[in-house]
Amino acid sequence: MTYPDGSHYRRRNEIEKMLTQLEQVTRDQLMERMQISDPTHADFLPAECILHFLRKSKRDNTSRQFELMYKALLARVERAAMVPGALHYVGEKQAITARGAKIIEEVVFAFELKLTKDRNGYLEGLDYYEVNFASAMKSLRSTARAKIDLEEGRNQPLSYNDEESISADVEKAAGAFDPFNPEKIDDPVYRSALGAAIKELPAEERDVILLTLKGYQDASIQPDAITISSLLGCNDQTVRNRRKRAVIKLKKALEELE
Amino acid sequence: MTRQANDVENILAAFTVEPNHDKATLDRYLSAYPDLRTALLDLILDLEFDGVDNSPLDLESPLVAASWDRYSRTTKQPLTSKSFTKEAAKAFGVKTTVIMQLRDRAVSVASIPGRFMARLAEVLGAGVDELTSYLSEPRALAAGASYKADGKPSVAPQMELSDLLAQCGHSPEEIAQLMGEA
Repeated sequence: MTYPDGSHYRRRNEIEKMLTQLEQVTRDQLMERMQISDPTHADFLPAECILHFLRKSKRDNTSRQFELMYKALLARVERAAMVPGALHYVGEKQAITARGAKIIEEVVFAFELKLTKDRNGYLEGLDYYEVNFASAMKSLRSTARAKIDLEEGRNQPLSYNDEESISADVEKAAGAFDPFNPEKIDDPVYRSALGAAIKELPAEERDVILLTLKGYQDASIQPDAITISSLLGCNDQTVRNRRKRAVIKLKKALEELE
Repeated sequence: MTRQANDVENILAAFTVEPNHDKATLDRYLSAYPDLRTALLDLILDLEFDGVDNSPLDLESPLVAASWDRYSRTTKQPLTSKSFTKEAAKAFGVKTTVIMQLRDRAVSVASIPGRFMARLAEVLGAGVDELTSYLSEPRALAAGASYKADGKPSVAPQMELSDLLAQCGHSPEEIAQLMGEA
């Protein structure tokens, strides 16, 4: 299978290296390692390796060993399907939101279907998960999330008012606030709070923020340049206004963190 | 633009496993799939801002157990002597007697080349491990054999695969091909 530019998908080097080592260990040792549930354990197996062995033995899928392998992989799928913020505490106990639980169920089922199709033939689409499981799972989760939100009517776009004025006071309050402050951005707590705050923005503002983060210019005199204005179909003043509104909201959300 | 759900899923998965998600990569995808802008930007958010949860996994969670239950229920039939059919012989390109002798474990497993074993497993809808363990089981006397024989019934010694193929009437060229030498 190839990337759009024609280069072939390859497993990451560390996974290739690990697979070479794992081919040398006995089946019992391999199964023992698959049962390790603590991701921080030195012998914890990445999902890419388990998927590789599972696909290799997909025709011998009645044995107890296969069952253990399947469950080890699906537990990783279940974990990767959790959307950030889906867990909360009810008293002492951790609980998951109904939406979060539905997304997980949807993802688990979609992945199971892929394994079933792959067992009956060869499903190229599973290769992505051997290249980078955690990343590929995000696309599966994103598809499931969109589906669940559509079913629940959550993603009905709210009408966005580009004409809404930004008061001078509010603009001043946002001041020179940089949500991507290099001094803070690598702090995992700040980063995930920032991610959550961006998710809460209206789509119009969120797109401007993310495209800015990726280094896109607001506009360009070169007619074929890809800019935020050209992508979003609006002028550069509108882009700037959306960014201002977004930054004000992000500042407020992140102040609550401190 | 309308795309098949499967195509969208594959495009998004391809994007997530790109070695990096810089502007150049995003440019490529946004140019090729402008209709997927929202989904691609959603993924940027997930890829760059999600934290990592390192708490222990639940290998026996109800969801995982239910998934296994469904998956294993749709599992095909295990390999038995009944899997060695005339049709399988035809699909594999050998005489029916060859398949029947293999069914009766008349061939020494050690004499079967890996490629032959893999192809046979595929034709029988079984795994290589499954087929190997079937062929390695002790041979049983054919039912009723003891009543028809003059002498004391016993299990004939196993033969080499190449000998069996010759005995069943395959030409030296066919044998070379089947054994993976041609």
